[in-house]
Amino acid sequence: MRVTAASFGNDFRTQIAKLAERQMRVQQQIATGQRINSPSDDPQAMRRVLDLRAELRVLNQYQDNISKVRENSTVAYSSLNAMKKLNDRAGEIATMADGSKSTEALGAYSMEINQLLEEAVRLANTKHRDVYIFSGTNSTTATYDTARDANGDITGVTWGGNSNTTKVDIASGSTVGSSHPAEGAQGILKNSTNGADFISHLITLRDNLKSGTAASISDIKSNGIANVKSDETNFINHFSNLGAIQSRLDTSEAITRHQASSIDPLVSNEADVDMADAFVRLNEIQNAYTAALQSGGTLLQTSLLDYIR
Amino acid sequence: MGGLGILGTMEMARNAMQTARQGAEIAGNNLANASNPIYARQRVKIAAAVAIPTDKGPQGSGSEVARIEQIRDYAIDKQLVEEKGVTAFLESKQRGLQMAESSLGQSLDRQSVNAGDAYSTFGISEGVTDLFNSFQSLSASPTSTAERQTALYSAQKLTDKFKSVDRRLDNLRSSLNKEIKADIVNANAKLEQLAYLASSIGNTELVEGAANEIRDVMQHTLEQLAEFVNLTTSTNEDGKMSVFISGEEFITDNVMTDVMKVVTNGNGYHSAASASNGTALNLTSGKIAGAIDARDGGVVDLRESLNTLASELITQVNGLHTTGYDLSGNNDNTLNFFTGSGAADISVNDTLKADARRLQMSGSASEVGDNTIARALAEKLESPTINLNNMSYSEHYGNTVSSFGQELSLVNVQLNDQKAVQNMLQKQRDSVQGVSIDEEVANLVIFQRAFQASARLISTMNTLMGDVINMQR
Repeated sequence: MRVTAASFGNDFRTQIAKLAERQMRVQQQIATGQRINSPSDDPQAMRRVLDLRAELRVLNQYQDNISKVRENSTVAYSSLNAMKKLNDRAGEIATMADGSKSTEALGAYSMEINQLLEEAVRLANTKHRDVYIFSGTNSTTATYDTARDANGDITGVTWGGNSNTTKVDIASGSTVGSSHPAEGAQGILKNSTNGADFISHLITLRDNLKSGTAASISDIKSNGIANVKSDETNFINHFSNLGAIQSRLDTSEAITRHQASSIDPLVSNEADVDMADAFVRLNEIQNAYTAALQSGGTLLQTSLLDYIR
Repeated sequence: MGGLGILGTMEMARNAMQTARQGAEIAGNNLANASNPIYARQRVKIAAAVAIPTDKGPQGSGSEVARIEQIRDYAIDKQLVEEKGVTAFLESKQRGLQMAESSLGQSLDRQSVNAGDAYSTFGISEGVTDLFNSFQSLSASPTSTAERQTALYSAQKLTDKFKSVDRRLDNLRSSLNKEIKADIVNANAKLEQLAYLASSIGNTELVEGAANEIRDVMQHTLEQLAEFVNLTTSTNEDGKMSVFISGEEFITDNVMTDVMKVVTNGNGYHSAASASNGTALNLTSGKIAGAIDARDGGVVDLRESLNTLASELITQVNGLHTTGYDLSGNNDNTLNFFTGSGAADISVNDTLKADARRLQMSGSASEVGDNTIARALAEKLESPTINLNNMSYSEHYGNTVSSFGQELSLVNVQLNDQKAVQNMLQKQRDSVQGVSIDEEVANLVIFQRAFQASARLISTMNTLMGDVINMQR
């Protein structure tokens, strides 16, 4: 092939331009740690990365949902726990109250039950993040509105909530209830199926103790103790129910976390550069670049002109 | 007897000196043009002068310059005209698509820090999942105004992204369009120049031999024209050239007979047509075709695909939102979540922005804590949608990005190959027509020696003549 004055220059130019471009590309890969940056670098990989990252974001969202539901169920659990203690004490008092107690003693019991009742209503109206957790989906309305007599004692409560539960997604196609209605078929305080009605039972017990008549004492013995029992059974049922929810949440979270953590390596596989490989390549390209510059510089310096005097 | 005689020999030496000098001049001209990329090296053709008859037979009478010829490979020239057109086509298409790619702003940044939006990239992909995730969050706390605000904020971020990408793609289309118009005008100027050069060659060569320099310029102009449009040329038996662009004749026998006119369609987009008969030119190579391809191909597909995504999002989200109930238990079945109809004008309803409590996320008037609508919205992210070819939003967007990426990536590969081909051809052409300094310097030495030798002949003849004159003293 005939080599002309421009051949060297043109070839040299093309070559160093190519090497410089590659150098920049590899340098960019090393600096970012990524094999690809924009869709055209590797469209298929970009597609997979976009899908994987969308999936990861969804999984992270499920984890957020799980922690929110867990918060609610933890709050419900601790309220429930406190209410059960109130019920235990009410049970003790109901057992202790009998004909042998003086009217004063019964009055004192009645006052204690009244306090328990106030506390029970307060607990039933527990709010978490501005939401009444025992109000079902009517969650901005207080669970119980109280009616009081001239003395300020609670004579009855009106339920402000409903028996629906808010379903929250904790995984694709899997939901868990995040509100715990106080009443209804599965009510935490008043359950139509097993006869539990915590607040009304406390009111009845208080009133019976207050009146202190033989009839009311026998009502405590015949019905009051049984009522406390059914409330306790209901509480215990819900404890296990909440426990089951918590354990479901734990399992779900573990699975979600596992899925999420397995996504990152997949993204890495698609998008990350093999650093060692990139450094070796950068080295090679730099060597070639230096060599090209050096040889170009020497070659272009000489011509026949230098030898003709 | 016969022959040249002393004076005749001196005449011969003088001619030979002239020939050698002209040879040196041409070598000098070549050297002067060594760095001129369009120059084809020239050679003096030295021919033996007419032999004179003697009684011993014909005797040579020295040398003379027959002609100055240019060394060109017409096949390579022709090939290069074609290849340059293809390269220009791909370059212009690549440029258009690269701009569209940056307009899309969907890049990958794995080094992003989980510390808020300022540290991560935000493309439509992230926007779509963020929006649906915020619906999901809202479904876990349906009455929280903070979550409502977050959902509205995510939606605004997404709508802003849609609008800015759409606006950039639209601007890109109109700037490509302007370039197309300007390039048609430029190509006409090249056509005119070509006709002028062709007729100059005709005029020059009619009287005084090869018009080498003009041919250089003409080849260069042809290549430049090919960078705008796909052309073919033909030369008739008189050496007159005709130029055709996609089958339409624009130069007939060295005369420009037609120009390209800019045709504008109903949407304001330009293309080229013959001015004389109005036939639309089907451009297949050159940068005009490349820009048209990007403008009406990749860029439009991308824009339309995003528009489909946006309008589907508007329809579906609004469809659910208008059936829900707000925090006060009211349903307004005209209260849309998004306003607008596509990527260009999608916005979050101002009424909602002003009062997040009015977001209608509950499925029942009496249950503010219900999350039926929020959950239904969140589920839309992953569920296939008929109008998105049965893909989910994120799938559809992923598909859009990857098919666009594929188109650009294909052009990148094609352009690389094309450049390699063009480089090779250019190298070959350079090898044929390029100036080699070493070669020219060597020629210079040869001509110098020839000149010196002929000068010696004159001085020898001069001595002989002196001897003859002094013979009688």
